[in-house]
Amino acid sequence: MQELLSGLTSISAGQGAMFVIAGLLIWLAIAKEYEPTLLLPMGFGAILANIPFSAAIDQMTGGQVTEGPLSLLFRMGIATELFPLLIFIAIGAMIDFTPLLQQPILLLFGAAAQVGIFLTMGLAALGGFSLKEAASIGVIGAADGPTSIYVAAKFAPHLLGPISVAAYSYMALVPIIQPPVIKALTTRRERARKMELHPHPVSRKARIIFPILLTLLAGLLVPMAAGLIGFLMFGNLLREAGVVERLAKGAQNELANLVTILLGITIGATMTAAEFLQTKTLLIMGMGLAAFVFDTAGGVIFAKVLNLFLVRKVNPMIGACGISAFPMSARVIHKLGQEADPQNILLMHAVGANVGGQIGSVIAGGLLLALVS
Amino acid sequence: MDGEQWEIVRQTIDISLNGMAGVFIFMGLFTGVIVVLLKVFPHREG
Repeated sequence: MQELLSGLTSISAGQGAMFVIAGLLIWLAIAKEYEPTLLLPMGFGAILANIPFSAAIDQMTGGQVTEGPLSLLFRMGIATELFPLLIFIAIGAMIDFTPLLQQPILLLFGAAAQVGIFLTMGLAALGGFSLKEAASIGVIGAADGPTSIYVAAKFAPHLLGPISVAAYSYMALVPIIQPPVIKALTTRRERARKMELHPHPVSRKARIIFPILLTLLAGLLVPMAAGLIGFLMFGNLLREAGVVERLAKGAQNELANLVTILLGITIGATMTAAEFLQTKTLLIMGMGLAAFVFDTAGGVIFAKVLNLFLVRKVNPMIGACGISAFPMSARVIHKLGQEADPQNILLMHAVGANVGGQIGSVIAGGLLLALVS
Repeated sequence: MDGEQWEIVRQTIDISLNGMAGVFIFMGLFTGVIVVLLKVFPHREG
């Protein structure tokens, strides 16, 4: 009888607290619909990992390690960086780069809004974290879950839980985080500024060559980025090729869904009480928020500086779309533009900058891997 | 903060400056690539 109740009697306060946190993630996913595809499996993974003597994760019994399926998935899919890379194929297959190809200058906003990564990295270093930990925390500012996981798995796997929670939570909170920052940095007149739209069509050849050329360029210049950018662009090539529709749809649906389930529940399983209930988790959550604020401010300020040199001024809010939280950020900026002037339609510009941010975050992640390694 | 941590901060600043410059260089390069790509392979009606 005592053995049957051993799980119940061995539960610690920390594990109890983790059940509450896991419940909160599941509640956010279901009731608030905050990134439910990730937060729901993560919450459940956290429950599984915190059950005393859980067979879902590795356990030491009689001096021998009994492998748990979630620990096995971690070693196979996260420690090897396989899961985030597979997710990139899916993301690439989902993204239409046409709005960016129609206005290539929008890519520069995708660069400017990565400033949050590097500023937050500095904050983390000042906060006492090691260089690799600081880089992993900074990458929350990529506003791109798979990039955050990819870099953190390489540099600071012990921080994977809080980093993933921060990255996905703040991505879901973009509609709450970005507007006050943008409003503080722009006037209503600036927000109401209209941008002309000349949607000239892009040839199929250009759309097909774009992902191949980008992979070659990025891979040859920063080989460490080849995995990140290559898998993203491979997914996009499947989409644009037009001859492998079945594969493109498979990447967008089956691959994305399956890997998201495995990724979420496996990361959730890293959220054990011993690893998660630490002061540094709170610090990481705080710095993650700062990263999103810095990204947004960096993008807006860059757009305002760029306007000093442009004949046809851009709406400075477009700069804030350079973060990679796609398509959430584009929707937020379009809505803010309409608030300032109901006739203001910024959606296509915003989407262009937003997909530029996706490329920017991957490049920033790759550069960090190269520079910190 | 001890000397070792200051060294980490210094390295971080160094990496951040190089990283940010790198991101801009890449995105500038990609912008140029797209412009050339659109010129070489323009859209043709039909």
